[in-house]
Order: sequence, then structure tokens, then C-alpha cells
Amino acid sequence: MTIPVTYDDGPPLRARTQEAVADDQLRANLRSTAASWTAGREKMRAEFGFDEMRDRAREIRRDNIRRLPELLDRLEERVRANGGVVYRAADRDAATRYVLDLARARGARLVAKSKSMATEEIKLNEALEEAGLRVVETDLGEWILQLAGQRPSHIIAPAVHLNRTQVAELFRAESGEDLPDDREALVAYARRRLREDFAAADIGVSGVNLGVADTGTLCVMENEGNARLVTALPRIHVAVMGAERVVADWDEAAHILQLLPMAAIGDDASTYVNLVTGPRRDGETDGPEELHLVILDGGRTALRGTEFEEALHCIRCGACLYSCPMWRTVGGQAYGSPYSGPIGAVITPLLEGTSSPRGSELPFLSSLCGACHEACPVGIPLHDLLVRIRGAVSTPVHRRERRGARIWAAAWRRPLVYRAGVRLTRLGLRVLGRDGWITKLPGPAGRWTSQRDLPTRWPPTP
Amino acid sequence: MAADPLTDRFIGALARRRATGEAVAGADCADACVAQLREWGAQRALVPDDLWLAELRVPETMAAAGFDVVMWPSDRGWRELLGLDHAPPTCAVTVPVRAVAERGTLVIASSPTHGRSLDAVGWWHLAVLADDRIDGTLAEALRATYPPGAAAASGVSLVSGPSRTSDVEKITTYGAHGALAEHVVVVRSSRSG
Repeated sequence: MTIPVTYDDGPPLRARTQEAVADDQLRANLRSTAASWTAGREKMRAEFGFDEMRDRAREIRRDNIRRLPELLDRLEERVRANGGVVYRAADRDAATRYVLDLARARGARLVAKSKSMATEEIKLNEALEEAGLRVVETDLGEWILQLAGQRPSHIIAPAVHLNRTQVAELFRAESGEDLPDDREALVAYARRRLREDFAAADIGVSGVNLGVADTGTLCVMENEGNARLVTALPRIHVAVMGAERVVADWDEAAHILQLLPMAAIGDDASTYVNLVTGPRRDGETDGPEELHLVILDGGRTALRGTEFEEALHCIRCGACLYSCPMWRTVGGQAYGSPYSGPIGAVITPLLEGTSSPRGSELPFLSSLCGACHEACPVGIPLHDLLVRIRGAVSTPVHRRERRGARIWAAAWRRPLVYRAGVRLTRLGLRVLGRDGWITKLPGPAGRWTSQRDLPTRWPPTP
Repeated sequence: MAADPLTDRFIGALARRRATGEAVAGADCADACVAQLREWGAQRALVPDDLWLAELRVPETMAAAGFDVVMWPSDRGWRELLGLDHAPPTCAVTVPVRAVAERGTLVIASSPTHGRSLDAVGWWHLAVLADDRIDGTLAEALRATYPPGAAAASGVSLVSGPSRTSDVEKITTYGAHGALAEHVVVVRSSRSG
């Protein structure tokens, strides 16, 4: 496997991964995280029939994506009938612009957010902050990262790479209070502090785990309760949904709503599922006065009917991340994309194209071991998709490598050329070697000898 | 009184969700609620203006026991309802429309007298549930909550235990943004007669 290092836009992938590998703290955090996920998954297998549920989930998602245009139309029609506003955003900029224009038109100053990958994808926070709004991430992990000025390292456990001492330092800096390194105290501080923002926010922004087409209901799953407050207290609720996140009816929704936390954290339910069917009704004193659903395409629907369609089946549980030996080693931030791990390596290039640095690098950040496929609750063959995407990557480095491989293949198909090549190589090794060993090769081959020595003949001289 | 198997399963599942539950006769419901408020050390109860709760004499009994009873809808501001500005420690009371025996899930629907944020604004969450509202599975409960052709509640919350986070070192900590603890008083009806 070769990870090319040719890019000029920020530190290249190799540098990011090397930095991550050298971070002992990060690796210890990742190790314990992955271990607890593995234990949870075993429990779900043994006690809740995870494997059987997976087959049905796969059928549901396949059907959802085949019927996507029809389901989206129905969802849109139902949300409107419930009193909501629907905006179909063709790309990331359009989605961001819509929210920004809405915030400006309503004179909003404070935006409270619950965790949402779609808003990470469209870089909503940056856009709102540039426009002078204050944006508060209210999911504890996301808030910690916001204070740290970092990006999430996992789809559902964003701050998994930081430990309690690091969190306590951030909170002390934020509050000026002398907070102990104690988990309960840290959580209680965040609760108190963020309630100030829930009480004052003009706009609540959430993601959407599933849209139920039959009733026009948006499902927002969480464990903390912040998404409830985000969707219930501010005057305006903006829900940003990836266009593929739609199911037909409540039977399908019930199945996915149960399977998702099982796959994500090895738990048989998430603490809260907030089901939003329109803004507040007459006589109600909470719930938003305005509900806006932004359906983000951003390259999704173009994948239907292609060999990459299965990537749209994803329900964003993060199981493939935990299962991946690469992610377990370098964590999510090294990926440099809001979506990390195997699914990130698949959908980043699919949504952004393979010509960008991360779009061309990420498909190669995998050993293709297939653990992600096994972990996926909807059975996406992520390793196959990675191979197909690799085939589609065409940067100068990849073209050069492919040319090299073609020359190699051509030579090895001709016995004469092959034998001549072997002789030439042997001769070369002896010329370069000292006392039967080569310790430093010139040019790109130097990378190989930087880690090990090469004997000039076999068996090597001791 | 004979035990109802669904109620038993539901209460068993609550324990797995780190919540607690008990089944009582209608006449004992108000006392059970008061006992729970005392156990938690609540001083105030935020109670939906619900006819059935009134019939069970829940708000009345709480007030008589010395708790500050605030009825929903309330004209108190969000800061106070959220427990800011030194508001007294508050328990939110809910009346779920359905419950799921399999996973200990409460289905709570919004209405003018039952805010969608109700259970998440208090420090504790006390639910009063009629036992004939308990379904076996989530799919059954959702089918009953969203009957075809009928208008759905604008906000429905599926609540499975107290609020929690694992964002600090992947260790579960309770009371993140919602309730620190959850207790369900299941009121026996004719079915368990």
C-alpha cells in the first residue's frame, strides 16, 4: 500500500498519520474506546439478535435508496402539510446560504446546535460565525472540541481522543472556576453553563437521523437531552438532513431506531429519540414557531444507480470506525474530513470527487481487511467500495504508480526480460552492498531501507 | 392483585436502562409519587395539567405534602424552568401515551398541557403510566402513536432512562442535559385486575 504525499494543502496525510501514531495519549484513548465497543457488540449479538436484525436493515435501506426520489417527495409534502418549510439544497454552499439567510432575516444572534454530521459537512458553524453569530455546540463532546478548537474524531463520540484531565483544563480556562478533574463535576458544569444558552438561543440547529416519509416526522437520536432542548426551546428549529436519510414508514423507522444504537455503542436503545412532526401547534408553549428542513444533496443522489450506490445505505452509526485497524491506530482527526474511518474514506471522495487531496488520499487509508463490512449494521461492502474508488483516483502520483506497475507486469510476462532483470538486480545489489548488506538505497527506495537492511545474497551472511 | 406480564417485563427493562419502576393501584399512585419526590430530595414538581393525573390526585397530594407544584403550561420563564437562577431542585412529571416493554422506553407526546421539553428540563423525571398503555415492541408503540389518517402530535419523545453522556473517557455519566434519574409509577388498570 502506498499513501502518496504530494499535496500542498495543509500537512499531507502521511504527516498527519505519523503525528497521530506518535501520540501515546491518543492511542491509549482509542484503544480503550475500541475495546468497549467490541464488548458492547458482543453483548448485542448474544442478547438482542443483532445479526438477524442486520439482514432486515439491509433490505430496508436498499429499498429506501431505490425509492429515494419518491420517498423524498412524500417526506417534503408531509413536512409542509405539518406546517414546516422544506428547502432542497443541491450542494453544500446552497445549504449553508439558506441557513445564513434565514438567521439574518430573523435577526438571530445565538445559535444552539446539537451534534450533526451534515452541518459539519457544510461547515455551517464557520459560515454562521463569520456572519457574526455566536454558535454553541451543546453535545458535550462537541462542546469540548469547540472549546479546544478541534474537529471531531468520531461520528458519534467526537471527543473520544481527550481524557478527563484535558477536558478539565479546557473547562477551567472557559469558566475561570476551579473545577476538579472529576467526571460528574465536569458534566454538571457543562449542564449549568449550556442551559444559559438554551434559554437564550434564537435558532436551534439539529441533524436528522431519519426522516419518516409517511408522516413527515424527523427523528433526532441522542443520549444527553441537548437535542431535545435544541429542537424544543428556540423560536426556530433548523434541521439539516442528508438526502439519503429517509425511510418509508414507522415499521422501518422502528427497526433502524433500535439497530442504530446497538451498532453504534452496543446499547439496545438511545436515551432520547426526538420525533418532530412540525412546529408547535396552537396552545402549545414549547416547540419552535418555525421548523425548517434543509435536505442536503451534495452529491448524494448522483450515486444512485452507480457501482457506489450502497454507500447511501449508511445510517451513520460509526461502527466501521471502531472496527477499523487504521482508525483504531490514527483516530479520526488524521483523516482530515468530517467523515473518518472506512465510511469516511468511501464517502469523502464520492461526495467531493477524487481530485482533492483528501478525496484522493483517503481511499488508500485502509488495509482492506473487511472488518468494516462485518461491523456495518446495514452490510455495506465498504472494502469493495474502497477498491472501486481507488480505481477511480487519478492524480500524477497514481498515474506514475500505475505506469510502473504496468511496466513491471509486462516485464514479468516475458521470461527473458524477467531473468535479465533478476541478474541485473543481483549485480546492482552487490555493487551497492557492503559486507553482504545494503543499509541505504538511493531515491524513493530509501524509504524501504530507512526501516530495515537488505541482504545482497540469500542466505545472508551472518 | 395478579401481576401483568407486560408490566413486569417493562419494569425489568427499566432496570436495564438505569431507571426504576413500580406498579401500584390507582388509589396508591399519588402517595407513590410523593414518596419518590422525597427520595430524590426534590422541592418543586413541574406537572402537566392532565385530567387523569388530577383524577389520581397527584398534584393535589404533592402540594399537600409541601412541594411547590408548578402546572404546565406555566408562565414562568425558561430560565426558571431550566433550573437557572437558583430555582429549587425540580422534578418533572410526565404522562406517557405508550411504553415499550422490550426496551423500557416511554413514548411521551406533546400537547398544550404537556410540553415536549417537559421531562428534559427537570433534574428528575417521574412518569405516571397506565398499564394498558404498555406495548411489547417499539414498532407496536409507534403504530399506536401514529395511527394512519389521524393527526400526529407535533412532538413525541422516546425516553429510555436518564440522560447520560459518555463523552468524557467513554465512561457513562448521568444527568448530562436531561433528567439525572427516572422513575415510572405504573398504574394498574382492569387488565391486571
